[in-house]
Amino acid sequence: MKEHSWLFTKKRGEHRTDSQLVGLTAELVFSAVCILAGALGLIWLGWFYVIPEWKIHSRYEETECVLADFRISPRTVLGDRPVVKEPVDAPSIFEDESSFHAETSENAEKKETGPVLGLPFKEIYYLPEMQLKYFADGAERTVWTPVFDSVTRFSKFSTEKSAEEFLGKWKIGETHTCLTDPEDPDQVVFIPDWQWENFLALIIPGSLVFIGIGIGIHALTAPRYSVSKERNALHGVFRPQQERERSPSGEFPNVPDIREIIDSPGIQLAYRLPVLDSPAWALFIQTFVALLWGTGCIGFLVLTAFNFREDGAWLQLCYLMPFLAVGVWLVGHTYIQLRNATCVGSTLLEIEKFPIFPGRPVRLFLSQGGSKKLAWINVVLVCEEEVVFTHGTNTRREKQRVYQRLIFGEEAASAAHGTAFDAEFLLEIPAEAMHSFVSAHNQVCWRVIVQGKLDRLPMFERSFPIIVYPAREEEK
Amino acid sequence: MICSIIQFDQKPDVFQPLETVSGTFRLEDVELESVNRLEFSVVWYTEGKGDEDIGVHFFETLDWTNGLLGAVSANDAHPAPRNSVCRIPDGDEKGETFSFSVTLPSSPLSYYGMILKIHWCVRVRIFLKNGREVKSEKFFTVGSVPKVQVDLN
Repeated sequence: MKEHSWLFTKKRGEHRTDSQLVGLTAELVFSAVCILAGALGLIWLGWFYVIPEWKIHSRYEETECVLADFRISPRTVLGDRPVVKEPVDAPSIFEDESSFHAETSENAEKKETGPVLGLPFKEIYYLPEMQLKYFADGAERTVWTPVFDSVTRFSKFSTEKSAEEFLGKWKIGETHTCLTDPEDPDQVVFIPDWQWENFLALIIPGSLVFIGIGIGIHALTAPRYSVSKERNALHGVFRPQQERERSPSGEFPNVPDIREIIDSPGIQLAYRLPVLDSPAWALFIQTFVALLWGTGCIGFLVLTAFNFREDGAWLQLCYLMPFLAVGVWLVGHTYIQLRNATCVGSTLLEIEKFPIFPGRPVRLFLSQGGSKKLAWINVVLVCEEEVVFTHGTNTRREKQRVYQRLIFGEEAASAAHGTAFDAEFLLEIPAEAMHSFVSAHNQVCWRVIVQGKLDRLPMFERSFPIIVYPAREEEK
Repeated sequence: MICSIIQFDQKPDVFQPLETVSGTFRLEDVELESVNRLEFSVVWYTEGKGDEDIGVHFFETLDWTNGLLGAVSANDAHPAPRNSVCRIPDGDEKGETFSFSVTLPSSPLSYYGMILKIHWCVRVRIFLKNGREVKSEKFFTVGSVPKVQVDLN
């Protein structure tokens, strides 16, 4: 057996730590990392977005302003910081690369340009600016300001042309609403199209904090002892709804519900068995696809024929040929399938009684319809193990036939043309055989399979499920 | 080594559906005071190529709160009443002993197929106060389905 590490063990795709202490520590560390990352994100967003927005909207006053003039200011960035930087009165609102302070006409000339401290320029961008005229604190004011997307971010462009196009949305002399600081009337913010979507960014760090808190609470409050498989199974963790619904009487747990196959009365015997994997639906879909494809091909063929008469559309015709070939094959194949299905006719299998117990024979009645003479017909009793397993991320199904016995067979069956072939015979499950069994991933299935061949047609096979109950001791 | 020794009253360990499985289990090398709880169950589970399924026919938790780990009462004796587990007076000084008695269901029967097997067992899990968990189990057969020999005649 493969040795696992002392920390992790793996069984059927489930990982777990062998040490509860290590597991708890890992959960708490993960929780702390989530909370820390989320908290840092919230602080950052709060400092740079939420608090400035809150300050602006709670402290600033709405004022009517007139657009007096436009200009485009080229700006240079040295490293991460703009070279041109004004003295700051309210550092908590406008800071760093995105900070820009509305400048008055008096200090507009104070700007420096060119290298600072001998460092080279790294980036140039163009800032559309507006000159706003408004009344505040009893006096008319004229202020140059950039156009803001939000409180903390102004519009800037990499080319002068795009900045000009941006400013083209407004005209000189228009009146708009802007926000001014009552304590410093020269501070003005013009946000023509405020974008609340910026606040959606809060969801990400907020989610991290919630997830971290949830994991932490779970880690600290979950039972310290492990939960056994039996306890989980008892509470239905391993039992899908489908399984719980079977065998409603509870008399035979994990034996499939017999009601699924006794809902149809027979003519000769008590019950008519349902057919498994009936080809009717597959044939219906195939017919539908063939008709659709064929109709489409005919339509395109007519269209191509018209084009061909006018301008000799050889290329179009060449493109159509493969589709026509597929259409002809599909229609032909579907026709053969339909002909076979209608020629073979229906297979009826009726059973004398249910439930079936091993060692107790029951009568079966077979009626095979068809428009041609039967070459041979066999009835086979089979038992198969059927399992479902996960392989990596795939779910696979596998069958293993463990029992097969011919219970009826006839060659050159005497059914005349156009009449059904009828036969009655006994079915007996071996006395020590396993009963039908079903669980979430495993089954033992018993089936009666009718195989036959009609003249000039391929072999056909129909499968009928039966449910075998556990043998009673007195029957053996 | 900490474990529990499970013994059936009947030998061989083959039972028929609806029969009663009775026996005892004894805790080895462990003081009852160091046990947080015990879980006793009678289960079947599948083995083979398919994913494992488990069916719990009988399940009982024995801990200090429900009194099943506590003192032995005068009524507690072996065999235990049907479908129950109880602590019984020590037959010897080796360890605490418990008696169980569980009536089996009609199905599923034990099965030893090609890609599917169905096992029945009595399982005891000891959860110690220090967080350790020890599992012991004893298998038995339900029904008399022989081991599958593929027959495709």
